[in-house]
Amino acid sequence: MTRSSPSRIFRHGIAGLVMLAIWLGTGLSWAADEPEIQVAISADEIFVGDSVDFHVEIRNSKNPSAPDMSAVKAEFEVVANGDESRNQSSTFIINGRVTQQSVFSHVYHFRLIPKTAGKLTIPAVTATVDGKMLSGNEVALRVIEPEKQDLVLVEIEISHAKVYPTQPFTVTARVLVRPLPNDGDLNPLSPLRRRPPHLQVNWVDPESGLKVEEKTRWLQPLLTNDGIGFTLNDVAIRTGSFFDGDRSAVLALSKGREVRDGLDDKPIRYFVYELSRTITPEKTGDYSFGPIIVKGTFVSGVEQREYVARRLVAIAPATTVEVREVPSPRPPTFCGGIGKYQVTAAASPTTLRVGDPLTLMLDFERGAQSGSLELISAPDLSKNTQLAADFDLIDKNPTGRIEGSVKKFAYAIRPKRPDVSIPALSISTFDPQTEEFVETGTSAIPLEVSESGRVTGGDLVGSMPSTGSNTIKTRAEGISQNIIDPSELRDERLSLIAWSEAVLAIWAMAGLLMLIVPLYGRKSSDFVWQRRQQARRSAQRKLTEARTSLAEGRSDEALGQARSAIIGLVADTQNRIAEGLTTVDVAQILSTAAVPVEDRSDVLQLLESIESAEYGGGRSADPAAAIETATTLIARISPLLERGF
Amino acid sequence: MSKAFPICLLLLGSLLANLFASDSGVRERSFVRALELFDSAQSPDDYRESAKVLESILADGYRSGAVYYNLGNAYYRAGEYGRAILNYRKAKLFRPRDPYLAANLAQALISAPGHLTESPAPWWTHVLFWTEWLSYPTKVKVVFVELALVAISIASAVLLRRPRLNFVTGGLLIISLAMGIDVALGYADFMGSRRAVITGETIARKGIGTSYEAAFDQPLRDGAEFQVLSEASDWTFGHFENIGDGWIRNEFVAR
Repeated sequence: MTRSSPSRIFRHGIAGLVMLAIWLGTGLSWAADEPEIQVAISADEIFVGDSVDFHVEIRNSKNPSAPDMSAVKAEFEVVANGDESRNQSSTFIINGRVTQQSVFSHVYHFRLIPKTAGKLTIPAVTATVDGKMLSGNEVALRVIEPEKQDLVLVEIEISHAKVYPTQPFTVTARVLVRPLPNDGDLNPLSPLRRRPPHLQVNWVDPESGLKVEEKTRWLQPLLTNDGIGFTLNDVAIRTGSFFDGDRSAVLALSKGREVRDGLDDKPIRYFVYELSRTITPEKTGDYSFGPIIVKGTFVSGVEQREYVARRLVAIAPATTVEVREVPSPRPPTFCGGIGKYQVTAAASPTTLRVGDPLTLMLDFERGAQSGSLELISAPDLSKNTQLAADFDLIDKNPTGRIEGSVKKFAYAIRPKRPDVSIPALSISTFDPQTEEFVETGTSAIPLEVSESGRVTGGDLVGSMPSTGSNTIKTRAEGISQNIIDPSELRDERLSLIAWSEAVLAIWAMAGLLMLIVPLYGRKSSDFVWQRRQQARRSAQRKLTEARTSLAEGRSDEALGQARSAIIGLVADTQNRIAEGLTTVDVAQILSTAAVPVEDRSDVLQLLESIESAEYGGGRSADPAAAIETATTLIARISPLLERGF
Repeated sequence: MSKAFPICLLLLGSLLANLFASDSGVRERSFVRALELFDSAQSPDDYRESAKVLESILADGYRSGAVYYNLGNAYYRAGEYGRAILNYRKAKLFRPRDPYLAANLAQALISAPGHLTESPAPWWTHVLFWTEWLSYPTKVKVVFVELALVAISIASAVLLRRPRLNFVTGGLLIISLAMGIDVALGYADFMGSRRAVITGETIARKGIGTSYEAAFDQPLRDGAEFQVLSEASDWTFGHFENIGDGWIRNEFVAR
């Protein structure tokens, strides 16, 4: 124990005071910062229909509450986009001195959609922090509204204002752009290729109840690489570059020319761009399409041989499509079809006997703009009195199959009498144009049905009970036709042995896994076991190093490594510290491990000779011989040592 | 262990692939040939010829619901209702939900002169309600797959230390047991060792030999189905539903 000098105590005291001051200073520094609100917006100028990101940051408060946005809601639609904590706490240790710094910040994200156009002000948002009402700053935002112009015209076209479920219709966004002032035939979007105009429509991802073609398949043919076209919503393509990320896809939508009167009533031959999509409604209801917004910079004139750019936004108002229910009452022969269908009937075979089955095929071919074939159900042929009188319907409600634009129903029927034919069948569909049910007929199919040999029911054989035993009746029906599709010919043999073997193999694997995995897990955490497992490899590695040392002329080092190999083997197998083992300890361990006397003696002799050589006394050892002896001895004693005891 | 696992999976996959391997080129030709014979047949003998070709497909133990079905049709047309019923019954094990098969079997049962009144379906068919949904091979495969899943579930519960998997194991075991019972009950039918049918008019005897007196007061005719109780060299002892037991010469029995 040493006695501290007064100057040393003084120095320590000063250091402690400084640290306390820093700690208190740090603590007081954040405690002293007053809570505050900072707001920020992503843009100060947007077009009508656009939104702007609005961020509210509350600083220097551990547990802030969400800001009150009620004042903002008067002029904006407010959509919360989540919040995040940006609290930071840092600890610095410089020359033994600890410094702690804490920064408290919580950011709330919102998306604001202006309800009106013009110069707007986002009012100051408020928040209650630690019982005190805080207020942020007001922020100015300019919302550019569409102006009356004839440079860019936008409109929506809908093929059908009223449709029925599954009846497809087409919605088209049309953009008309005035030709360039200096070249009436050049695509007016060509000069804009560096920054193509943007088109915003609401049917890229239509609402539920509307079925559309997959988005990629729809837009893929419209993609262009020359940049002449429109960007659409948030549709982007991958650049393939790790650093560039995604970029907006440019779509070539050019559809020719169209003449319209401009604001000065002079005809203008506009360039027309169209984005169409075919939509199939699945549910009834009213569906709104639009508004369409086109915004960007367009060429409005030429000055001094240079284009004059004009930034504008054009909007087409929304329009509605009504999807109606098929009216009731519906005729009994109504099959569910909406639109125009061509119905044909065919029978096979046409020459048969009474009772033989025949297949009656009814094909519904869908016309353009007609409803889905999925709607069409198998007509109930039993409603046809003549058919029901002459034929037995084996399957009254067959499942149809769709092949391209045709839905096929296969009925299995049997003639009850000779000389019957399949009568004309009447099926009705709904015509959405006239809003009436339309009867469609098939032609009659002549058959050659001959008499069949009848089966006579004999008396019941055997000593049956007297009551209710004789149930045999004479019937004239035949049997259903053969299976004619060779693909139905499947090997349905059951190899119970193979299946049993497979299941037994799985059971065996599961059992083995249950045995091995826990064992392996236990062993992998058993340091002693692992050390013993690696003992021989470690010893051999050391011997290899010894040979290398010897080859490089470092004899003393080689001898030391040979000794280390043997001592290491003993230490590793017995979980002892190698550095603490003496030759006597090794002798004792080998004796305990039941190593034969001659091996023991050889080991001790080798170790002693190496030690003698190392310390310069006694006889000198031949390093090469010592390494070979050590190799032999390790191979002999390892199995005995690895057993453990 | 990590290397052994893919090898085991490979071996298992190969084993399963062998299960489903088949060589059907010759059989397909025979199948089509039988159809051609059937379509051009004018007499019972012609239909028997078609049946003979179909029987040749089944000669080496091959089994197919489609072949049994067409065989039933060929025998029906040949007027051999007993054999038709027998083959429809066999087809039903592979095509339990085929409405055409059900219709043809019903037709054959009605047409067969020797058809006996059938007993109502046994009670267990109501308990094992799915028995008419799945073909017999499917049921067997489902049982084996479930047993394999049980093993995987047990191993997962132990290795992942998820005791809740024991409920999954329990559920799988219950389903396996129920399906297993269904499979066991249907095994005799599948192997053809239980149900047989009379193929021609014959007299059932009370013992093995024509010297024994008739078991019933009338002869048995084509289409009479019975359960096999025991067999001797040329005779089969059978139980006829609602009638009794008797010995029949094997030449009048089809299985």
